[in-house]
Amino acid sequence: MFYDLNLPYPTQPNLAQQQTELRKRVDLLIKFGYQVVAYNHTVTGKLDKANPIHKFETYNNSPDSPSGQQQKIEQLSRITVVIEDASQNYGLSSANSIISSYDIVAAQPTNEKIFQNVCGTLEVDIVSLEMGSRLPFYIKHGPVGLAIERGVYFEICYAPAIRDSASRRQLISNAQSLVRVTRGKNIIITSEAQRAMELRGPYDIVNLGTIMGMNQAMAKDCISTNCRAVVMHAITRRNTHRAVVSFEPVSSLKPNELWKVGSDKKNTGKTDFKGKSTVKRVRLSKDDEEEEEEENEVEISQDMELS
Amino acid sequence: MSIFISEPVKSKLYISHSSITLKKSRHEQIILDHPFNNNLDIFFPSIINSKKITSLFNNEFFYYKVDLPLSWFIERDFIRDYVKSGCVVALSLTEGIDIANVIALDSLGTLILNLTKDTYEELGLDGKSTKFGPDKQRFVVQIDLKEKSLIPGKKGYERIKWCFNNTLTKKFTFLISFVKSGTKKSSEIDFPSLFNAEKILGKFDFNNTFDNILIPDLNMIKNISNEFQWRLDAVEIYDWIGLASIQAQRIKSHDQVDPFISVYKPPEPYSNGNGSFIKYTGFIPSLTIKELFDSVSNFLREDASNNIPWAIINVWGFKDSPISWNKHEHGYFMNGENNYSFIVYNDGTYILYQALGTYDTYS
Repeated sequence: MFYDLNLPYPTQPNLAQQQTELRKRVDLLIKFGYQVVAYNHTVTGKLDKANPIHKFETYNNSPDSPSGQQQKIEQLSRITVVIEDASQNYGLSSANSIISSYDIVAAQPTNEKIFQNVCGTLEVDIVSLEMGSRLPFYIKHGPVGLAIERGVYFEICYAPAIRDSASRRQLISNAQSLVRVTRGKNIIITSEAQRAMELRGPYDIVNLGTIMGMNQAMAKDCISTNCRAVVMHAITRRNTHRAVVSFEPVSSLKPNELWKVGSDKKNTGKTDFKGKSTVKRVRLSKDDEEEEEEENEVEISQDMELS
Repeated sequence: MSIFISEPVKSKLYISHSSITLKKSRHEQIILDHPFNNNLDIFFPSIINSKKITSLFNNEFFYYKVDLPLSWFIERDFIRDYVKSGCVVALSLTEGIDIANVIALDSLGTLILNLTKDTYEELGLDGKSTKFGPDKQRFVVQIDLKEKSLIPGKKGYERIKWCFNNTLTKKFTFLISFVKSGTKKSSEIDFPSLFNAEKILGKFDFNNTFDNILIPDLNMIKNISNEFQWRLDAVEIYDWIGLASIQAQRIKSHDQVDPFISVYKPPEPYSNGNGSFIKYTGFIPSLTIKELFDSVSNFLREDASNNIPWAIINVWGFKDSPISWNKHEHGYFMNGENNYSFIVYNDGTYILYQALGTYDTYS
């Protein structure tokens, strides 16, 4: 699976022109062979506006149709919070309703202290750095090591390198230092393409990764395996309670998943006098990131009757 | 400053030299062990009458494109009527073996499921992690359909059936071909109408000439005198074979190209000549390829005037196939080749080239 976890969402989504521009980019991503895209909404300062991202219906998977070349892609929503002031509370926790309406949360630090904070404490999935220009701080082993331990990933965007040549030099140099410090681990490569012309195919990105100091195998992980880890990290952060347990009502199961509650036995659920089902399915988290300390590695689902 | 980190594995090219007349020659085994073939072409270094070609090399074949659920493969009727009474081969058409799930049925009756981590964890059958690619991200499940214990009532069979009816119910689009044992030609398969089966005839191209080209003298690699030199010559000839198969301008006799673009010259000694191609495209059964190989070698041997000293047979496999030769695992890294080429001489000597992509365990 190939992921592009940074496709900038238009600033004025109601304009038809910006909508068609977005569609063009998504269509090109499908053509290049990407399976998952995340629309990115960047916010500087206070988080007061509601989630503006609307996912297109036309790209959704139909579960029954056979596999093969289809015009479909999985769409996720992402927010990037640009953090400029260390003292201000940005409300980056799952309790914040605005943050929890996005699938993936990213933070962009602007100075050394905030970088330390983001890598060490804040509840984010991705650390985004402005790679096209000189970084205002050095990337050091300390905070980077903390981030790797926590399962937070660093993002390298490649579109600034295509946009202009000065950014290209800076980006390659910054990316090389990031790869050196992280030793190639916990990095994802995304596009940040503002126009369709700035997108590239996945195998081309693998080759671009070699310029940044990785080998092809590492670079291929950066757009597939590592991105999947980010998405899983985000799901764990949002849906589970301390990365152990999540609850889903039985009615949310699709017809082909009813085996999970033992529908082949005559036991599809007891209903109380109000007609509501009292059988709840407890699903233990599927995520198996080794970096999460509170993680439970069990991947089975169990039926438990809770009253 | 960046440190150059070398790649873990590289693409490989295996070259072997033998003769059809030798008893221990592996040519038949190589052809039959390579079940998924996409393209085949045969090159003769002279122009041959197209009527003659049609009469000698017209091996018709057909295959089906059909949407099947996996539960169909383990039904007793399917196993009895097709798997055990001939050679059924199937390959799913999906986005790519490094992206999506790939299902295949090889010529020995093994159903191979090459799955992503998420599908494998939901499926519930026992499998192993792939030997290539990121650690524990893809898994391979193999089910031997010819096994005696695979009958309704037995635990193993019931478990597989339950999984295919509950956890992995998705229909995959397959290319499937069947050759009944005894006959050497493609045979028909009966599908229920709800599977949208489409019978597709193999495509042939007989009227394909490539004239006024520079052809190297392949007799210099016919016998191995100096192994080191032979190896270098053989690789150069392989380059030329590739250019010939795409009918490249670079080997035309009067090609004058700017040296900025290309400075290619065919390996010495070379001479002017004409060539003709026979091209087959489709889901080619390996038995058909073996028949063609035998026709070509007979044709060369019986050609009394000795006008044609050799012929080249190129076969391309599917880049997204889960196996290359004989159950050896195959994957797609930056390339997914599993192709082979034969140079067959009129006395039965042959040189075999096997090109393998990075993620392949065959050796």
